[in-house]
Amino acid sequence: MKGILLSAAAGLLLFAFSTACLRYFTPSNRVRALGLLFLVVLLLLVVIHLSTPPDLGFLGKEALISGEYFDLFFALGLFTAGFFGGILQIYNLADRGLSLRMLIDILEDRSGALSTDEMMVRYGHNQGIVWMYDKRIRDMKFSGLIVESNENLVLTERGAFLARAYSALRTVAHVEEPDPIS
Amino acid sequence: MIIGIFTGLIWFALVLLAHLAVLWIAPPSDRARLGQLVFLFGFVAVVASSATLATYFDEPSSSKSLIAYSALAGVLAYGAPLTLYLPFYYSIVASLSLQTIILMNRQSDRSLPIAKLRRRFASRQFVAQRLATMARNRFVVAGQDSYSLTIKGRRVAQTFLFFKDLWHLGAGG
Repeated sequence: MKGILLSAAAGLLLFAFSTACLRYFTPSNRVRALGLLFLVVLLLLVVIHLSTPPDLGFLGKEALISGEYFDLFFALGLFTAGFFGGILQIYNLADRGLSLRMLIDILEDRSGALSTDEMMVRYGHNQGIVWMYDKRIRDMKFSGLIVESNENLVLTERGAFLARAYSALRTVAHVEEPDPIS
Repeated sequence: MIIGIFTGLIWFALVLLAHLAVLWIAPPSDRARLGQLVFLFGFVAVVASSATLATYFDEPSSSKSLIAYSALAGVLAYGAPLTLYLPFYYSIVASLSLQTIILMNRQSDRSLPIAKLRRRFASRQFVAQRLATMARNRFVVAGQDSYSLTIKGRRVAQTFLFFKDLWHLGAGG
């Protein structure tokens, strides 16, 4: 139970730090900033876990896990899942989710409804669907997956490696390959 | 509690295999719904089996609180890897960036014109397909010539709008 309580507290602390960071410091690379905060709080979690008694001074005998290190690893697992599957995932969806942005665009529309043609231009708070795709191109360039050359996009070695890896994963998950572009 | 943790992890492994089976056996239109049922079944199975096992193995000292702790540990040990698996799975299935680099990797020169990529991923047909998928998943409902939000879609939109405002994320998308 100690691991569960400490990882929950660490998760709340990380959420507070992340909120302060994104609201007041507007970092240029938000994912990297969130990752750094995660590492800082992770370290804090390890230190606090190792320096406090197994019962935290108030837990009953039934709430204890035999094996202090086992409890620590459980706490680290929960905290890590809370970050990558929680805070970072919410950030990714809120900042990059395509369907989610469409829902918000419909919500923000005065009439509360949008046609396909309206969505083409109103997507992303009136920035349009081309802006959406260009944003992804920009991010892929920034990540070193592609480079631009004479109105063409060219895959880098890193991008090709990632494409092969995800292609294999799509096969495992039985996902149809995208139709080729002629 | 250790029994609960191991029970949760074992159920996660079983549910992962069951999800893979759904992906290979079920028709595409049923996969999302059946997948959700499998994950939900996993939660119920974890609670039931970790509570049962805690009672069985710790019989002399078993109490309601011990069983509750074991079930809680089981749910967390099951839910934690699941929260990592689900976004990873959906990125494999739906990410436009991944689809883009996979398409490029199929070309002999690993290159594609930007205009052609925009015609695929920023076209009217693409938006229409996405809206139709959202309607199938009951986030929006199709009217005469437009889409409006369902209650489920409105709740999701409002929740993420809250985070966008809280974190000053701008338009995003």
